Amino acid sequence: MADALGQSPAYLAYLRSLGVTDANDAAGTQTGVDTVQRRTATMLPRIAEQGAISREGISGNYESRGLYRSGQHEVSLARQRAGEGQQVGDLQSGGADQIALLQATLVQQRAARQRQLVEQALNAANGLYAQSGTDALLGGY
Amino acid sequence: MADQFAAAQAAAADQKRALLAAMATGGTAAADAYKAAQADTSAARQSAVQGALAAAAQRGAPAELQSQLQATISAPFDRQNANLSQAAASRAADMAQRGTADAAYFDQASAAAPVMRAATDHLLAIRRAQYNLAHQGFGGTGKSEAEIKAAAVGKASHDLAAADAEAAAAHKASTPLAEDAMGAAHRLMGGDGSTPVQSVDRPALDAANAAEHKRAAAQAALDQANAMPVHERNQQAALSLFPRLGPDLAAGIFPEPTLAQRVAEARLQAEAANVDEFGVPRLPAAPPADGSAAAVKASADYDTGVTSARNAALGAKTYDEWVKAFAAANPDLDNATLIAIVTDGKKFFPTSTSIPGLAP
Repeated sequence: MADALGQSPAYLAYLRSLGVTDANDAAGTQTGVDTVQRRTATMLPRIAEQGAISREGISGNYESRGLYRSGQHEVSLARQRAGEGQQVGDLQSGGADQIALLQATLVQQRAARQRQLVEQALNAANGLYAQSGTDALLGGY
Repeated sequence: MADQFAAAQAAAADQKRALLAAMATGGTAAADAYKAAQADTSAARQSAVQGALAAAAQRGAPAELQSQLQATISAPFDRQNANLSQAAASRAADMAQRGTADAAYFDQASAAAPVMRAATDHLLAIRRAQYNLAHQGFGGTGKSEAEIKAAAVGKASHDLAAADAEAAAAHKASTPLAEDAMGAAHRLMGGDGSTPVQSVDRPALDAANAAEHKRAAAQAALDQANAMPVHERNQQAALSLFPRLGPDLAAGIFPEPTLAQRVAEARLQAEAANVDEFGVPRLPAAPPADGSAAAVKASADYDTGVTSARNAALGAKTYDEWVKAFAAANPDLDNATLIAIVTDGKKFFPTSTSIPGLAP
């Protein structure tokens, strides 16, 4: 069926450009996903390291005040871990949002190209049909 | 020729399938990203809680404190997981909504193909008819546009002439018969008119009456054709000669003229009648003025003549009167053309401001 539109130069030109554009968009999306995942992988150990340093500071403070084995010390450490957990959660949910957005954008870009392809096909069909009708008219005389 | 539109419809169906597949892939990738984040968050939560409780136990923290510590540490991780679930659901709903809209677009595009084909068929039919008209005549009859236009009045005139001839023949045939009948009646009445008529040749008289009616009908048809706007008359003539054209094609070939075209036509007709568009007769050009007393007088006489001729032609002293007179004298002009002309003619009546009795 698609061969019937093969005589339209504009349609063929659009088809040629379609594959290149799609490949470029897919590559751009993959690069974006890789970047997000690499940043997350880099940030997580850094947060853990800073958390450990922070806990050492908290424990040292309680130790210097003679409260190392106190419930208050444990609660302070738990709050620090909760804050650290919040940072980890923010990083991971932010990354997931970005990846989902990149994927959705790629789908939308593809949908836009598919819509344009259909419009090109309709225009090509109409042009070829009108042209063949005119040719038949002129060829009759 | 229909293959091109079928191909376009097939392309729309293909792209719809491809889009739905791409949305499924994209949706899976997005859902996977949220699932991975939830798994990482759960692992981080477990690690944080276990590490904290182990360290607290080493420091000799009481067992009843552990549940409080666990709750404090777990809270932000649990909130994140709930947020991630909500974000994943929102993203999925958004993509589903876009997918529905895009699928509807492809369905509409597919449905547009036969409509576009029908519209192009219509344009091609008009183009073919115009080409035939210009180059060969409709249906290969060799009729030109001018011939077709002339055919309308020609056909009506022919009908009228035939009806005239028929009426005359019938009248001629019936006259002696009627005279004979009247003579017989006169003789029966003894010449004094007191005796009623016994017999009359009714068939001959009926034939004469029928022929006269036919002639009157033909005259009425011709009058009606002449009263019609030219483009409608041409359309009817084309349809009369070539019924397969159909009213749409006939209207495409002989379209209704625009207002500017109608005004221009009225002016052309006025020019042909040697009057201006206001019905004022055209006068010879003013004599050249060389400064002499005779030339000045001739020029003044010319101006007076022009004024007199115009006043006489207008036959009215006020603009309102002139508009009424002009409208009455030009019954064939439609309202819009009439308004365009009398508006232009206002310059002869600078004190008037309205066009009475004429609504646009």
